Amino acid sequence: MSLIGRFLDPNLIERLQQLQLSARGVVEGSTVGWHKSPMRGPSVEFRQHRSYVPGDEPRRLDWRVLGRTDRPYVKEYDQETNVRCLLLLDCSGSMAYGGAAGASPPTKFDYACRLTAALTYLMLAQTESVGLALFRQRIGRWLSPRSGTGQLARVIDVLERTGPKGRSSPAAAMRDAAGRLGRRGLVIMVSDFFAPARELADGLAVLKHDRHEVICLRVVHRDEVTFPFQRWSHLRGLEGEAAVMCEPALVRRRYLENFQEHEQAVQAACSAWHSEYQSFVTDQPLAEAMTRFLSRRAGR
Amino acid sequence: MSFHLPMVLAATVAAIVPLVLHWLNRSAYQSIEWGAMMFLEHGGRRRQHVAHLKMATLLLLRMVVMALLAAALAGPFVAAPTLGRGGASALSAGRGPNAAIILLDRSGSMNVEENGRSRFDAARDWAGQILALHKGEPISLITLGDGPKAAAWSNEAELSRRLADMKPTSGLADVARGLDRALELLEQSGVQPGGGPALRADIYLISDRQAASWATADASWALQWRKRASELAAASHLLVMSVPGGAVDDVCIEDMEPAHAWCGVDQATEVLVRVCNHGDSQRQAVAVFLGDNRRKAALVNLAPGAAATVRLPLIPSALGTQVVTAETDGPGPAFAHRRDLALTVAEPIRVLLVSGDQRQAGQRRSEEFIRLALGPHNLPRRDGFVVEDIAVEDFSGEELGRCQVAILANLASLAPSQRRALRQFIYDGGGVFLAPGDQSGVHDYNRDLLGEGADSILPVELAPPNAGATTALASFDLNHPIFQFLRGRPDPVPPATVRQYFPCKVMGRAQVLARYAGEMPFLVTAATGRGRVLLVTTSLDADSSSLPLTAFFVPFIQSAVRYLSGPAPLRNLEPGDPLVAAFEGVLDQSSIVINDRPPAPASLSVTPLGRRTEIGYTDTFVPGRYVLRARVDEQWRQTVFVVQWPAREADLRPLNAKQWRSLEDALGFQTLEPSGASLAPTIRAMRYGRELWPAFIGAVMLLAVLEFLAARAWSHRPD
Repeated sequence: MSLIGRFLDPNLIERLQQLQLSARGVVEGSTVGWHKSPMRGPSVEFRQHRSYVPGDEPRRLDWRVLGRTDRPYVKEYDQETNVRCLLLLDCSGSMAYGGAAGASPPTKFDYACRLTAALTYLMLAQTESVGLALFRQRIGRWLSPRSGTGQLARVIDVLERTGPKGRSSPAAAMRDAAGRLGRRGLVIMVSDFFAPARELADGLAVLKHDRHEVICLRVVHRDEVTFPFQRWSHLRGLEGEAAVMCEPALVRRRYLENFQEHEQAVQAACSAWHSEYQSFVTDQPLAEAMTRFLSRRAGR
Repeated sequence: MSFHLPMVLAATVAAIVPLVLHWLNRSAYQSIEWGAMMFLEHGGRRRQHVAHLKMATLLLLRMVVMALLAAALAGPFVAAPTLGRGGASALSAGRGPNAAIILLDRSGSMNVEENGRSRFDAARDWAGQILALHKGEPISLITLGDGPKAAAWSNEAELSRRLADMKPTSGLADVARGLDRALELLEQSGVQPGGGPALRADIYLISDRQAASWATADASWALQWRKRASELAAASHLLVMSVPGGAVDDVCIEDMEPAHAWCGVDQATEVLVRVCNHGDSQRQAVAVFLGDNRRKAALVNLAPGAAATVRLPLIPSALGTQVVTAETDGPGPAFAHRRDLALTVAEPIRVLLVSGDQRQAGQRRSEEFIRLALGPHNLPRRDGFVVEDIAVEDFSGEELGRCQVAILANLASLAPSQRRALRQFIYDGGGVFLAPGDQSGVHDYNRDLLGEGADSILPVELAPPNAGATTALASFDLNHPIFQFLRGRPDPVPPATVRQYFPCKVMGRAQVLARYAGEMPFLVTAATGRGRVLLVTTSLDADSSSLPLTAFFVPFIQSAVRYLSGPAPLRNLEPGDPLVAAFEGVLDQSSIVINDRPPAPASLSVTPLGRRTEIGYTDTFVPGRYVLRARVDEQWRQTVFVVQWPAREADLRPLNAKQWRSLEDALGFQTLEPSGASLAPTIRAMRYGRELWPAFIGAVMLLAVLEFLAARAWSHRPD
């Protein structure tokens, strides 16, 4: 199997060809596209008339208005551009969970990589520019947003060479990304968001301040949602936390409460900063999950 | 707590099963590399401790459930604390009590009625229930308040018949003595071949909580009794059944006595009646009267806890013993409203006054003072003395046959015939009052009257008088009957000055009744034969001392003469005092009856003394009148005695809660409070213990439910 085939199976590609991911707000692309741009330029979308000032191109004069009123007016149109999209992928240790001992992969990181590759494929197919940033406590590997089919290969190459380990800080990564991204664009963060929701809100605030559109895609394992263990368990932290020996029945209720509470807090933070949030569970087929997400997004 | 099947207790090791399972589970843990640790650690160390605590609690509950289940299967039971050694183990081994001793209070306080039912009725009901519970076992009934009767084993049927006829007395119950008798009975029961006591008895005490009944049950006695019961190992349990009762308002006649030492026929006399209010409320105009003579009732007001003495007039109409009854109309038990007094109406005492004084009459001679003291009214039937005055020269000795007491005042000496007559007179029971004076020769007295043993008239050896050494009377033996009239006086010693007295040396059998300030005897008495001799060591004239001029002199001389005339017949007795009656003549022993019933031979004693016969009777524990009748010289003769009820019995105040608890602790008894409930469950629980397995099973179920609820609340299974 080729590297691309490892992350993008044909079934997924077929489903992706029917889908579209667009920016909701105004973005500043580098080439002409079909996304709204703050610039005025050639387009079919009429915006307004304004009085002619010296220096305007004469071809923009509205000759009909000049003929009827004898006053020179210039016609202005909204410029349409492509999206500069940055995919922020969490490579921390917690993303390495793929189930209890004996369970078969994929890990959350595998799932997140496939999600990232699919989004890259989708965006590039829409002639958008796509970049990739891998982060733990800060952004490590950085691939600047570009368009063109070669970018997909570069993204997949980066994904192939990366593995999950260490601690993570989505907020720091967001701040870092905001500093590196120049023009406003679309930032898609793929992570489990196992960090305090307040920090996440701070990161979102920085991105939103730079007028980026942010989509938070959470990838979790089914075990993390249901805590299904029956026997005494010795839980060793994947990010260096102290090990805990516990009777699952006794801690389950509290764990689930904490988990749901945290998820609600993350959702609340996203909602507060007008960011989209979507949770993916690794036992869901990626194609279906993406279809559901993108259809819902398109329907809004 | 004991167990029917102690071996099954080994199953309590099952309590560690949950622990073992826990450790097995824990040791077979799965190791997981977990990413979402933040949701486990959320809440910090405190929450982890809480989780550990919950786990430990569940584990403990499971272990306790297993242990209790095993203990329940072993048949747990609790035996009531026993008095003897090894009570609980004896019960579990099937060697429980097999006899019963019932102590039933019959004292006066049990007469008290509440709602038309006396305390004794309630006590009798309880005794009947106990008898029914011990059917077929040896039972002994010991009654309190009617004297120490010999306790014996009997059976339920016989004791039921006895109970049916039983009534309360007006006596005083001595609970301590009754409990001692119960142990004595068990001690007499012997030892069985195996070494243990032949009978193991439960002791039941049915009584009210009257404090007077427990007066002798002090801490040291209780300690001794408990120790004795423990060593005896035959007394299993002591159950005190407290019949309904408490403090009751009662006014009682606490005491009654004649106001005067002597009373004669048709002579007005008085009876002192002491009335006491034991209640907590003031009593106004309580009437006290003699017999049915309510018209001459005295009215008294009595504060709570106060007593008053009233004088009630009386004119005896005949010689001999008369029973006078005082009554009152206050509240309280009926027995306490009446008290009998046996009043002895006697002839005046005949006194022979032999004087040796050579002085003229009117010169303050001793005989004159003595005569005046014995006849202050010059009315023998009122004064109680008939005095025959005679000079020593005219004293032949025959005069002694007409008198009961001879007073030898200031005699120089006595002729041999006079001494012989005097010795015989004393031997036959006469009384001689020796009052030497200035005429008396010390050497003659010592030579003629001082002898060996019964021959001696003089109780001391006299020394020559010490004139000029003024002294005073200093001390009296107030317990002696002569000085009874001084009792209760704030200053009993008279302010008399003694200018001359005879120092003396007291002989062995003599008793000094009063002394001078220098410790020299003033008054000495001695018994000789059946008679008595009294010696005063100073002259009773006004020259040797000022004694005849004091208020002390008249009652002193009268009291001394009465003492010398012989003991008054004892007709008023306390419960248990033997009654003694003497009859002159030939007595038919078979005719003796007491209260018209032949007395029990064990209580009766008949002692012939020549023509005189003395009858003694000891079963006088029940207060009341005892009329002793017998045929003497073919004629019926009778003597009346009164056994007075103890004044303490009228005090119905109960022991307070603290005192009762103290007794409970000291004696180790259980108290059964009055209620309508049947005695059987309580007594069965006391004898055979209480089965605990239902409680254990209940506890197991309760804990199991608790464990289930806690596990459900604290743990969460995946959906």
